[in-house]
Amino acid sequence: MFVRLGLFALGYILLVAITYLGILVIREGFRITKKNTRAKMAVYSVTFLYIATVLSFLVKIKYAVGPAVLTAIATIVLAFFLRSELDISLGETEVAILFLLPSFLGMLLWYYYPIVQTIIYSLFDLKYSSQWLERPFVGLKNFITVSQSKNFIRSAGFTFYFTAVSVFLQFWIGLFMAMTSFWVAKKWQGILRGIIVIPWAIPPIITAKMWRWLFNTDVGIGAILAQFGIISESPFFLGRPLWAMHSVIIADTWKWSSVMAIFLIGGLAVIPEDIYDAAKVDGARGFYRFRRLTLPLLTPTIIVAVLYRSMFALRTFDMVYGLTGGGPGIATETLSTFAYKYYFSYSDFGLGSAYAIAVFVIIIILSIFYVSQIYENLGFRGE
Amino acid sequence: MFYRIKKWLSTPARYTAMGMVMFFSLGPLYWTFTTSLKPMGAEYKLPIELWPSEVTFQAYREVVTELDFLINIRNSFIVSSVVTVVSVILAGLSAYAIARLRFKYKVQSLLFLQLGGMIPPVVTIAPTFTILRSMGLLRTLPGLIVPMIIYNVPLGTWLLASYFANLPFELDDAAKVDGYRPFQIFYKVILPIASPGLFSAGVFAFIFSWGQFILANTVFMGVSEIQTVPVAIQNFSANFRTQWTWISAGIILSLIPIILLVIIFQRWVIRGMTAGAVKH
Repeated sequence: MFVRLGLFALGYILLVAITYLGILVIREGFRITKKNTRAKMAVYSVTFLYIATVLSFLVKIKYAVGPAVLTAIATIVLAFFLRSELDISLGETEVAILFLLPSFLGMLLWYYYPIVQTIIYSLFDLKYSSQWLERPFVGLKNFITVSQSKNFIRSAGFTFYFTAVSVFLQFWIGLFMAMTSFWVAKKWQGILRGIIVIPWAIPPIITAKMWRWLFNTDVGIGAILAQFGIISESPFFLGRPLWAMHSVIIADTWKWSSVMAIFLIGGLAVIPEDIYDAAKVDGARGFYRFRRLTLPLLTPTIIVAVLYRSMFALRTFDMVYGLTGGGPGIATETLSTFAYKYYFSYSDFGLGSAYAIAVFVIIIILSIFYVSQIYENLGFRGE
Repeated sequence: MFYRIKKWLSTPARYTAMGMVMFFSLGPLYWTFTTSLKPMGAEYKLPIELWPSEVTFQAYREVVTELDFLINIRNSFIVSSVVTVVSVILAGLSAYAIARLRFKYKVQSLLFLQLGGMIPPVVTIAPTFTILRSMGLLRTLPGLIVPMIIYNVPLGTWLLASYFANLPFELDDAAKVDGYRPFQIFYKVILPIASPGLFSAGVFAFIFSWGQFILANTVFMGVSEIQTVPVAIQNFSANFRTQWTWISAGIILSLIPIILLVIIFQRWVIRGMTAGAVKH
């Protein structure tokens, strides 16, 4: 296994090196060969080879091997001919390219290529096959089929309901946790925050399993509450649609309130104290101070935290998969679990991709808001 | 900062609040732990015991001997360590470029990484599956490790970039005056003082790769010897007659490293998560 990993790493380093050389050669090539048209043609053709490799990779992964080897050879040959004029001093821009390249190539392979491929899948009829080249093109038919199906309407409805309710609960519980961690004496603060972080660190699928046991009707929380006489009868948490929906929300709230709390602890910690002193002099009472001072000052953090949580709630997969498996019936299916089901249970990459694209569109809109919110808070050295 | 509030919230009220928070966070864990200590069958006994009258480690023994759970833990350790080390290296390089080097298209580069990182795994899982299949990496650990290294790069870059941005820029300028090349500045000046940032990025990468489920479930396709902990625990309940003492014991075993990490690095976790969320 480690041999295979080592080979993979070697191949990747080679890929990065060749691509880096290619970028340098093409950049420099256009600068050097301003007059010489024949040399310029050579630079153009290497550029074209790079584009051709990417396109052939998109068509079919295996088709890209030939063009990739060809491109590598062409890059090295061109670099050889330009070597006397090539300025390979590592300035800031060149180092930046070299440092970003390993991540960028990986991102292209494992994030951006799959997105483009998923869009392509969604336009083909791919029942029992992933070979889209050999299957009929159906345009937007998958999207129409999906958007008219009861499965989609129910799961989209639950996804949004789930997001709204669980983020709302998480916000208030998280705020309570965050404020409590400031109320207690210093020596307890560290311990309390350590405990608050724990649910965040537990993998979602394991959280789901823990709660599946807690939601056991005979010996779970319902039964414990019934034993102490708080409720008369333990409910069928995961057996009835409405109960199951809210059980998923409870389990999710348990896990993610901690994240909300951590964000808000960060936000509360930077509210300057003299503001409270001033409010005190003005005679503002506790709850009034909370509403008129703490909440407004915390608003930027609240926006970021709620956006962050909403992005992750809208894509919920593990919690549902481990807790209810989407059941009973399809009551707790989310868009993500349906996408996965269509892919790997019903072997329909076309419809699965249509669900996946729906999740993608919703999340990318929120992501743009989120990234623009937080970008300004970081002081990077300018361009 | 909030000690002013102490005046209108009495001490008992504040510590009741603390008790509630602790109960809320630890209650489910406590319940899993007590279940794991019960002998088989006793988990269904009524009335429910909040602490087992008969404490036994039978479930742990059986999970290790009969289900070979240690193999799953070993797999998880291999996957998480490799992913952590490599992804922190990649993220450190790109974060340094974004936070401290001057070049064109910096905002676009950061957006390329961050917006990519927002794409949920479920959206990319089908093409990822086909790539892994054509590379022959299905049903192998590298098939999980290789994509997951990249899955941890966007967040790692984000954390480390915000960390690097807070180191004084005079360091670079002084090093430049001394005749250091940009590359030398990185590993001779910045890296030696960046270890806290690297550690917190590493903790995040470790925790996320320890819990990664959807990719692991897709890659391993039910082959039990190479499964990581989350997939194994999911399959405990699917394959066997659901034995909740076993599942609970498995959960507790798999959480020990994670909880240790979180408690040790609690401060860095909090600082890392709020990177960028809070204006200092």
